[in-house]
Amino acid sequence: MNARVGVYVCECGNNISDQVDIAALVPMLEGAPGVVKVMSHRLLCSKEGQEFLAEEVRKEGLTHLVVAACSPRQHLPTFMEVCKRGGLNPYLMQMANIREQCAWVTSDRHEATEKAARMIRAAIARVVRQAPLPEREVEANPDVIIIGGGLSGTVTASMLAGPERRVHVVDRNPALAVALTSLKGVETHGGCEVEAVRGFFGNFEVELASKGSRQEVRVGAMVVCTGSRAMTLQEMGYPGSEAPHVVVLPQDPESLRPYLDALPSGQPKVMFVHCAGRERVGYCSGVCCLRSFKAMRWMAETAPNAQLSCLHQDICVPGRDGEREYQGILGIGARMTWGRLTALAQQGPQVTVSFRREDGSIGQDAADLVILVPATVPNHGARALIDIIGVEAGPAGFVEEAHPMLEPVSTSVKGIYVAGSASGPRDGRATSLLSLAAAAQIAAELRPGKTLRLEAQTSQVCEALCTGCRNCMTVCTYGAIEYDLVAQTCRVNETICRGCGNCVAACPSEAISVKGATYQQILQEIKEAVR
Amino acid sequence: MTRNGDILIIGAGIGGIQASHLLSKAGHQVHLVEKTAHIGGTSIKFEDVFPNLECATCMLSPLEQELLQDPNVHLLTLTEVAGLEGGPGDFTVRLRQRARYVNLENCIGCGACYDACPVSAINEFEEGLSQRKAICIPCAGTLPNVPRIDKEVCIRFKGQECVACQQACMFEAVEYGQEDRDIELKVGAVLVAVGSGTMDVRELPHLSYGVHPGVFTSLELERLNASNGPTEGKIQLRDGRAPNRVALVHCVGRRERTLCSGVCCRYLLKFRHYLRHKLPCAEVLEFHGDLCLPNKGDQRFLGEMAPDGEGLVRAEVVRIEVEGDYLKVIHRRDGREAIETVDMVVLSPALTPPKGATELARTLGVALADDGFFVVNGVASSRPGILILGGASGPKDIRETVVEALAAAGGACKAVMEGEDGK
Ligand SMILES: Cc1cc2nc3c(=O)[nH]c(=O)nc-3n(C[C@H](O)[C@H](O)[C@H](O)COP(=O)(O)OP(=O)(O)OC[C@H]3O[C@@H](n4cnc5c(N)ncnc54)[C@H](O)[C@@H]3O)c2cc1C
Ligand SMILES: Cc1cc2nc3c(=O)[nH]c(=O)nc-3n(C[C@H](O)[C@H](O)[C@H](O)COP(=O)(O)OP(=O)(O)OC[C@H]3O[C@@H](n4cnc5c(N)ncnc54)[C@H](O)[C@@H]3O)c2cc1C
Ligand code: SF4
Ligand code: SF4
Ligand code: SF4
Ligand code: SF4
Ligand code: SF4
Repeated sequence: MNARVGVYVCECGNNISDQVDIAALVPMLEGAPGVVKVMSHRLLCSKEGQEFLAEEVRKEGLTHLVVAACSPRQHLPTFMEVCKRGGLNPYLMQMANIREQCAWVTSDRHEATEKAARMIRAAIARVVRQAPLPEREVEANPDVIIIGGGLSGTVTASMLAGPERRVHVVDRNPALAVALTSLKGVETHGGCEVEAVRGFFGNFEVELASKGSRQEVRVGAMVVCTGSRAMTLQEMGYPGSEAPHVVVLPQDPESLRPYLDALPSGQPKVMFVHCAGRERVGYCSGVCCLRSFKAMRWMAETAPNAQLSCLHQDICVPGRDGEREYQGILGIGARMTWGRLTALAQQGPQVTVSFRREDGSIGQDAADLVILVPATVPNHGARALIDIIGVEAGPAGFVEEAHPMLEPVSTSVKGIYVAGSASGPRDGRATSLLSLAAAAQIAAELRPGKTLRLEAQTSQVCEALCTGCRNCMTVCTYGAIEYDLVAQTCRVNETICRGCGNCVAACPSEAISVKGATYQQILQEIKEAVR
Repeated sequence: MTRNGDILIIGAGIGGIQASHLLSKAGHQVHLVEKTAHIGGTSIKFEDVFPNLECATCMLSPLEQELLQDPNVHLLTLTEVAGLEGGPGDFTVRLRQRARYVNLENCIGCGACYDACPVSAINEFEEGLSQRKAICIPCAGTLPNVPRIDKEVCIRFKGQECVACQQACMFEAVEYGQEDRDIELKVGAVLVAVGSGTMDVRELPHLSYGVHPGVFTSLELERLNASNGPTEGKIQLRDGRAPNRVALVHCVGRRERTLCSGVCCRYLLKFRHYLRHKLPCAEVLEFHGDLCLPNKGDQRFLGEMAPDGEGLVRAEVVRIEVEGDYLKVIHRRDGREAIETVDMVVLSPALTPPKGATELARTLGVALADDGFFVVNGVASSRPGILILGGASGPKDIRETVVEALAAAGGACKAVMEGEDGK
């Protein structure tokens, strides 16, 4: 069938027509290959304009449509909808942005008109080489697997489990909390670890292994809830940290009791040392100042005769409760010193604490008990798990969020989410909030009984050109490219591909192209623009 | 009882927007109520955002566009909540919407009307750093790209015979006859996303704000640096000169409010980036106490913005004195007072409860804490079915706000499904 291209130029009120001579422009486009109609309209995005355009598509039997108007950012969805109403595949429409990229930035009217003509001819050259793309959907499994059954795993599971959605919770620890095992709709897998993951959002196959047995679970989404842990004395590496009266602040200050009982009578000196391990990890954990202050308060109540002191760096207590707790500690008379811990040494009954002040000078102090407030680090085995499931990790080894602000519970892999302290140090409140957020996002994106919409503009590999170098596989952050061992070429999994085009740029053989933006299309488009 | 699945969201900042998107995806109808004429809240005032110095407009504008085109989101600008009755799954809300006097459907945002308007008034969105017309959008790029007539300053509403804007409009979009409306809606849950305010630094007269034109607040600096702002991105003094020596002052109001706002250390570091690019020759002194940099990447950010501690002065600012064109920053460092002379000072005022929090809390029947922020347990307010997110329950950065937006959206779905028993 011969192409029947319709070209519709929007005046955008006077936004475009002020700068572009529409009357001169229209004849410049007539006669372009395939073009059967060129027409201008005062305001195509208006209700009336949209109806007019849909009717034109139908009436003129258009096979392709060019809308010369504003930025696709503003109205691409609008005109794609118009195509559907007119019975045209929406991917057979191309917009030429003659407002932002032409009328608004070109001062000479004659030049602007010429430029608009070139932009529109380029759009015509591109759209006639466009094939219709189907809207694609896949069935999705609503079930979810949660890796890690601590606080975040439990909160996430309790929000998601229901009559229409089964939740599997895997924990390498065989003894899972009753709060979890008694949840309706939750299946726990204690003493298990994830061995392998196949598939994609909506249809994952997860292989679990425990001592001696294997099991496969099919789910639509995964949540990483593997938590974090306190840095150990060995990892911190301070000289002399093996001294008997040096201890790492435990989760629950109550565990400090035996140390308190062993303190000398009178007015024993107890020193809290902040930021232990901070230099090694390269970040402030953000949660430990407050944790330390709470422990100091507990100490002041439990051992009222103890002389409390605190070696700290910049105090980090953002938010509503922190500053009050800080003032409270100052109120009980704790002696505060700014310094970075450099070394510890047991000298007789006391521990000598050496530190560096901000000006570089060295200071020393001594205490009967030294409590190191540890940095929070990724849990044991985090790296291995990250590699197995294929998500990205940040420099510190935590799971990296898809976007640091806007997608705080998504990862680089669609369908794999992260909650709690697996993505960074968190206190209990932040852990719960992240878990509620992850559950909400999954509930919205993976709705029982609903299919998932797939990207239409995916990439494709031309097997005849592919040399099997696998460059494309290294740049695809979605893991959409597979290598076919038999054919020795790469293949794109169109269910996973998001059409980002990274692979196109990476392929030295020009074997890959994204549908709707093929080499031919772009080349012809450029040719028309510079002709 | 049949439960109503519609959700009311109050406040269209980044929190309200992200909650709307999630709820829409989950299949709920959202009524998004915004007090001002535009969406985006505080974050659209920034050129870049920490921690990655990403362009704020590039980050936010696609989200805003998507929102405006979402059939599941019913946006009500210039609207406030007047009353609320009922419980989870079955609330009745009364809204008051002020007239825009411009038809949202007809207007294409060409701006012809503002050029025609004879009135000039202080532009509040620009922190008073520029003038605007009586019919206007607050600055280029705000959405929806449709102006409103500010009845308080329009001379027509003061009895004069002006039709300049209507005549300038080719699209018959200016409608003087529009009236304020009362709207009643049934919803299943309510999300409060009204953000934080900032402390009025005039409360601290020793800092000379309002006395000397060289003293600015952080939001003023954001607007000075914004390419769509009053100076098109030039960081300059009020008389147009470029500053040579700039003092950034941390923790303004921290002691008075017993609150570390948690965001100012990082946005002041962001300002170092602004200043370095716009005024490469200017010297910057950052007067700080404790540096609050709680996230994984923040330490690196500090290293990049203040390599080897460059420009960092650990000192408490005692007062700021005026000396002709210059400002003397009197500060206490290691127990001794010292003076630095600068020509620009930027203050980082503490974040406060949002304006109007007391009335809103009363209308909604939820509790405020003694510090004036909304009481929360996670994101739950004191009243079932009403959830609080973002700056309204304490200072937050964008990341924390978005986490709470998602969590509260999830909570709203639960409240709708389970009613009063739902926790
Ligand atoms: C030393 C310390 C003290 C703290 N004190 C406080 C406090 O006083 N107040 C407060 O609010 N917060 C405190 N926190 C923070 C609080 O503990 C955390 O916010 C919260 O526990 C994090 O929950 P989570 O689910 O992310 O991790 P966790 O609760 O630690 O759960 C992680 C789970 O994942 C499992 N797991 C790990 N790796 C794997 C794997 N590869 N495969 C399968 N399962 C795996 C683990 O067995 C564990 O059950 C503290 C944290 C630490 C490190
Ligand atoms: C100078 C400065 C710089 C900052 N820089 C950064 C940064 O670089 N990165 C970062 O992550 N964070 C930054 N922040 C913090 C960031 O601004 C907040 O995290 C964010 O704005 C909070 O979003 P929100 O949606 O809660 O509130 P807001 O963005 O404030 O939005 C609240 C919305 O609610 C509306 N509203 C208020 N009351 C009512 C009512 N009664 N009825 C109806 N609507 C109402 C308001 O008009 C507004 O549109 C900065 C803050 C400041 C002050
Ligand atoms: S102790 Fe305080 S300053 Fe140190 S790493 Fe922890 S939160 Fe940061
Ligand atoms: S277009 Fe992007 S997502 Fe698709 S295969 Fe190529 S790199 Fe992967
Ligand atoms: S009617 Fe009002 S808004 Fe319109 S031009 Fe006149 S003063 Fe300006
Ligand atoms: S009201 Fe009319 S003149 Fe003003 S921006 Fe809208 S369309 Fe343009
Ligand atoms: S965030 Fe920084 S500047 Fe702001 S109050 Fe806290 S310590 Fe002070």
